[in-house]
Amino acid sequence: MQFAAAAVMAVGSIAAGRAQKAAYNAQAAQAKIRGKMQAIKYKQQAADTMARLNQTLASTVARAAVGQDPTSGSALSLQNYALREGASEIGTSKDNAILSVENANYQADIYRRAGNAAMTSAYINAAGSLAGGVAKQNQVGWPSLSMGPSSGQFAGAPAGFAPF
Amino acid sequence: MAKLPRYAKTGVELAPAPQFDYADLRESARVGQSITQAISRMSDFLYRQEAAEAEQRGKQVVATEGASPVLKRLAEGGGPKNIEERSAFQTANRIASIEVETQARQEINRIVSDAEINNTPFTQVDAQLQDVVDGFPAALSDLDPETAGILRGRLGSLATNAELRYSSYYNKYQLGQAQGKFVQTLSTDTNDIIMFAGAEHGTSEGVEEMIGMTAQKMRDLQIDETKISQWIVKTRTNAIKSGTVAEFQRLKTIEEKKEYLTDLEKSPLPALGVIGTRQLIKSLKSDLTNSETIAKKAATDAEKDIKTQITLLKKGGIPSDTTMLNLESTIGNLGFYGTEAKKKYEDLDYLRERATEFRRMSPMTLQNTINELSQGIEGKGSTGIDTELETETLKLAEGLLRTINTESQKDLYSLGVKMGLYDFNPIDMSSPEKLGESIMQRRQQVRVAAGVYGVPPMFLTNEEATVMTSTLMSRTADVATKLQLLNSLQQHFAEDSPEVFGQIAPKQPELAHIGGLVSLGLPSTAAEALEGMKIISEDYKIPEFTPTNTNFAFDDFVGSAFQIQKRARATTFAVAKAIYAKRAFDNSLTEFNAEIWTQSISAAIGQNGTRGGIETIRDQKTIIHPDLTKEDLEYILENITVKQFKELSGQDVNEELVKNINEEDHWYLTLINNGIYAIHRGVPGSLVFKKAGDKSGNPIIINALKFYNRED
Repeated sequence: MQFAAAAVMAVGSIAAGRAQKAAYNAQAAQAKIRGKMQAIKYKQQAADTMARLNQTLASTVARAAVGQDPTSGSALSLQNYALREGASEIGTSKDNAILSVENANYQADIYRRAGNAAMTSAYINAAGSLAGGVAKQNQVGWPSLSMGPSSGQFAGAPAGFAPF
Repeated sequence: MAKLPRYAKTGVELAPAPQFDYADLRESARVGQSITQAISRMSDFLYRQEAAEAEQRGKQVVATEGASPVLKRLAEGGGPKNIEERSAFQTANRIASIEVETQARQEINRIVSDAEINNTPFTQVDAQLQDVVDGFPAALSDLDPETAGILRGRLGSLATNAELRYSSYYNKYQLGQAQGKFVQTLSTDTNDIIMFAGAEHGTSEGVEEMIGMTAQKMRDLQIDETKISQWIVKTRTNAIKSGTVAEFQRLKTIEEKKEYLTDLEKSPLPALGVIGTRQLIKSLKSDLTNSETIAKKAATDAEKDIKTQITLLKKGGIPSDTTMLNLESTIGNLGFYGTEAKKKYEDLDYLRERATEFRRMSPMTLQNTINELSQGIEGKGSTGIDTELETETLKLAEGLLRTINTESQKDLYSLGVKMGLYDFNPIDMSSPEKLGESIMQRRQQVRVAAGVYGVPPMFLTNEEATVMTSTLMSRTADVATKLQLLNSLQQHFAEDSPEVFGQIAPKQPELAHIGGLVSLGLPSTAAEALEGMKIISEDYKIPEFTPTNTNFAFDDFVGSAFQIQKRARATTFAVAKAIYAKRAFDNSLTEFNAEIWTQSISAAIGQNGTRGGIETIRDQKTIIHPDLTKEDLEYILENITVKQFKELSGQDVNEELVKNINEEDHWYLTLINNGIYAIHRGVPGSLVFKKAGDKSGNPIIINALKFYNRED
């Protein structure tokens, strides 16, 4: 009975491990999707920033065309400023999009490894349960053997006494 | 002028560092944890397994070596240090605890059991139990303190329980003892009261006082008042009965007793009532009748006893003083019924006195006394035998004379004892000193008896003579013992020893002859004869010992030496045969040896070198005393004088006869006793045979040893 219970426990443990691994795989997939969604968001932000920059630059050029030298110092500097700041923000958004994907992949890898580890853990627990079951069954005796006259554990009882 | 538009930042910033869920690490950690847990479980399992084995080993040690040695060893090692030792320690503790407790239980039970058997005082048992409780903790020194503490507690509890148990028993025992003592005391008190009531000085006031004292004693002992009352009533009734019965019994005559009972019928005792008094009277009347019957029977018995004692007197006995006192006392108590018995007792007393007198008389004196008695006893009736007492006295004297005449010939010493001349003095052979003393006393006593009864002394009783003969003839007794007995008799009876050997002689003549050899100082010859008799009795066949070979030589050797002592001749032959048997046996003879036979005859006669034996003197074979020689006797015959006869034997001899003896060879000597010779002439039985006599006609006796001053 002890061994049977241990076997059931081992099977259960492996099943649990498998479920846990599946859960981690799902989480990995979800992490990837979340990363892609975040990357898209950042890409949208970069597009928005680009649009804003284009709008600013167009406005400056338009103003210069009506009277003001757009190449005069102030207009140019404003254009340069807008280009610098806008490019910086667009670059940041693009970086953020890349990082989101990278991070998501990384997280997904983590979840996959966790799934494997959970499986390993499940196997270990199953093995432990089986070993424990065998040991306990040994303690109480195997049903088929304990009926025989020479199968008792007493046959293996300590024969001698080690001095203290 | 319009203002140029300025780029407004959208506020894009670098995305913050993502918060990763390090599930892999967590799971890795869980893997590690699982491994750890698995290993831990295995380790725990192995630990438990090994711990169990260690525990088992520890228990096994205790089982193998015993609890106490293990505990002692652990204590010496500074206490248990591992599971095995702890297991051994715990097991040993439990076992030792049980052992100590069991021992203590046994000891406590033993103490209580012994105490119950011996009724040991409680304080002593308490001390013994305390000793057990105090003594066992020493055995607990190696135990762990908790077990020791628990055990001490248990021992204390056991001892307390045992104390309680014994206390209960002892209380019961003491109660029983007290009751026993009380019953004894009460019994004694009751008897005292009843005896006092029956005593001559007893009074009813005294009885009541004694009853009151005992009742108070019972109350002090917390006896139930009902029982006390019952005892008082019963004791008072018994005391009155006792007093009445005693008073009745103190009355001397039957008439007085009858009158007493009549008065009692008229005036019943208040304490007993009419019915009780009647019952008592009935009992006393029965006693009265019994008393009469008993008195008559006792008188008859006393008369029979007296008759028996008179018969005893006639047979030579004498009633003892105790018997006489008992008879006197019995008759004295018979009163009226003892009148006839008293008269017979007085006759017995007279006869006893006369018997005492007769027993010490010689036969001749007694015969004279009988002759006087035949004329009647002065003061008893008229002249002549005309009363029963005189007849009895005469019969008594005649009976004693017959007894003395008969017994003095058979067993003089026993007769002396029987007649009260002396007390019986057995020959005590337990040591040489006692033998000497007892024989000396015996010789004196026998001489007294011989003097009184006028007969030759007989120093041994018949029984003693028979025993000595049996000892000397015994096939199992060794020769040394026999010789020692003969030597002792010869040594202690000294000059009386011939009479002693003579007393043995009728039973076994050759033994007396051998005793004579001892008397003559020839113990080795006597020993030879005894040994010869022993081997003959053991069926030794002497080679060719036929009448043809022996008789002629014997006759030739002794000749006429025994011509007036035919019996001595036969005895000498028997002793010579015994000596020859011994010598033939020692020399392994296969045929008859005449020389040794002659030497044996000579030895039997008492020849000792040149002395003794048989020699021819004046043509007659003459026995020579071993202390004398042929020449000595020849000199006596040739030279003895009238004066010497007078000196030696007190005889007055005719001078002519003496001269004739000196000169005429037909006078010869015949040995008749130890060194004593008679003088004869001619062959006995012939017409010319004659014994030399003195002037009074008595045979002449010559003590040759005295003649030569050779007596011991």
